Amino acid sequence: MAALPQEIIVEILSRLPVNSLLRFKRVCKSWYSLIKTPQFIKLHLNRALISNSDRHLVFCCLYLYSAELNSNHNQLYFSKHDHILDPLLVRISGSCNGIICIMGNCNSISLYNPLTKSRFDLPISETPELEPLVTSLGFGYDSKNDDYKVLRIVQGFNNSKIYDQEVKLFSYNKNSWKWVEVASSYNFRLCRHGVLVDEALHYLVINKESSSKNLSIAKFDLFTEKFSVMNFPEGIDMARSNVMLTLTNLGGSLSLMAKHHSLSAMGHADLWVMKTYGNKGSWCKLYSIRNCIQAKPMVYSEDGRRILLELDNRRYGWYDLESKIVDKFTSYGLSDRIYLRTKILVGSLVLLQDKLHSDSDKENLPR
Amino acid sequence: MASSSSSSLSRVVVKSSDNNLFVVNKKVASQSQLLKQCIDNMEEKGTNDVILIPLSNVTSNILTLVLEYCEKHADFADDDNNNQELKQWDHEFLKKFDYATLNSLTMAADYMVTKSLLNLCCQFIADSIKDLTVQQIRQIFDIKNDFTPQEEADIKNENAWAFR
Repeated sequence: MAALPQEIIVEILSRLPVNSLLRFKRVCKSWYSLIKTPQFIKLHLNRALISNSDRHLVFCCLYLYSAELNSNHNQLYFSKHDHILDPLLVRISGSCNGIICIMGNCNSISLYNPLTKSRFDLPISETPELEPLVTSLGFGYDSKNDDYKVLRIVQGFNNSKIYDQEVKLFSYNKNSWKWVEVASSYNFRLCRHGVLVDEALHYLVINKESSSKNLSIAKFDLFTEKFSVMNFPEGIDMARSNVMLTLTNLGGSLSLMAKHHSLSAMGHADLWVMKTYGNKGSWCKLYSIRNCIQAKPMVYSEDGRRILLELDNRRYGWYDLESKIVDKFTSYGLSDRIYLRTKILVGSLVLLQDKLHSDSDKENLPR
Repeated sequence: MASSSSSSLSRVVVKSSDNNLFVVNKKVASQSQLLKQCIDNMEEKGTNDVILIPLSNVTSNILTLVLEYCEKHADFADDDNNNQELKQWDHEFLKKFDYATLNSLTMAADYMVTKSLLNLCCQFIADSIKDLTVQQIRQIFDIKNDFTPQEEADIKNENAWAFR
C-alpha cells in the first residue's frame, strides 16, 4: 500500500483527540517530531476549537479530577490526577485552549495542561499595600499577540484601613505583572472569577455612580488591556432579592444564570444568552429549569441539540433543547460528597515553557 | 477573458491512470477543482470539442468512487454540508472501504482538489484509528518502527511535555 504523503498525515493527525496523539507519538520518529512542532499544535488546537469534540470536564475538590466527555453516552468516568499544588486551597479559575489557570494558597498561580501535564508557575506578586480578603482571577488568550494573560483583582483593607482593590495583569510572553487602571466607581462582585468570551474577561459589577445602583457587566479586553462597561440585558428582574445572577460562557456566548430562590418551592434556574456578542437586543432566555437552584450550562453536545448541565454542584444532566427535559445521569470515580465546580477543557497539546529569565525586577513599575 | 466566442461544455472525458475513459457531466466534474480548472481554461479558449483530461495518479477503481461522491454532492448546494441526509450518505459511503482503499481515495481527493471529500476522508480515518494501538497504526499506515527499544520506552514514560 502506498504511504500517505506528509501533508495528508498532518490532516488526519490534526483531527485526533489529544490522548490518541500522546500514544501515537511512539509510532515513528517523523510522527514524534511532527506532533511536537508549534505549527501542528496550533493547527490541532484550531481544529479542536471548531469541532466541539475532545472536550473534558475538570474540577478541583481536594484533588484535580477530569473526565472525557462523550456526547453519545450518558456516562462520565472521572480520574484523579496527582495533586499539583497544595491541594487544600486549589481552585480552577479559568480554562482556555486546553490550559487551566489554578489558584493555590499564598498568592500562588499556575497554568497547567492536564492532558500533557505541561505546567508553568507565575512569579509571585505580593500586595504590600493591601491586606487581601478576596482574590479573583481571569485567564485568557490574546491572539493578536499570541499571549496568555491572567488578570488578578484583589480586594481588602489598605494601610489606612479602607476597603480598596488592586488590579494587575500578567503576560505569559513578558513573564511579568503590571498595574491596570480601573475606574473607582466599579465595585466588583468578587465571589466569581472572570468569564472569558471573545478574548475578553467579564465581571458583574455594581456601578456606584449610577443612581439606581444597578448591576452592569464590566468587560476587560485582553488585547487593549482596558475595562469598559457592557449593557445589561433588559427584562431580567434584578431588583428582586431572591434572584442571584452569575455570568458564564456557553459555546462561546456570554450567558447569565439567574437562580431564583423560593421559600415555598424548590426554586428554579434560568439561563439568558447573548446570541450576538455586544448586541444588547440579542439577549434571550434559553431555558428555565424547575426543582433546582443552580443549573450551570457546560457545553453543547457534538450535534448541538443538547446542553450538558451541572446541577446544584452535585451531578450532571443533559438538557434536550427540543423536548426541554433534563436527563440526569451518574458519574463514576467520584465520592457522594463531592462538590462540583466544573470547567470545560478542550483537548490541546499547547506547551507551557519555563521562561529563561526571571523578570522579577519588572515588578516595580510605577502605579 | 470571456468573449462572445466562448463556448459552454456540457461534458468532459476523464482518463484514469490505467487508461479507462469516463464521461462526466460538467456539474459533477466541477466538484473537483482540478477538473473545474481544466474546463474553465478550455471554455475561455472557446473550444467546442469534448475535452479529455488525463489523471495519471488515479486508477479507475478509485476514480469510480470519487465520481460517485461528486455525483451525489453535485445535487446539493455548497453550503449544504450540514445537511443530515448528505452526512448520513457520506458516512455510509466511506464505511464500506478498507484502509488501503480509504488511503487511495484520500490521495485522489487531494490530487483532484476535492476539498470536501479530502476533509471527509481525513475525519473518517481519524475517527476510526483514534482507539487503536501503536502497533496497529504502524500496520495500517505501513510505517516501520525506527525507534530503538530504549527510545520507545523513554517516550512512553515521557508524560510531562514541559521543558524541565
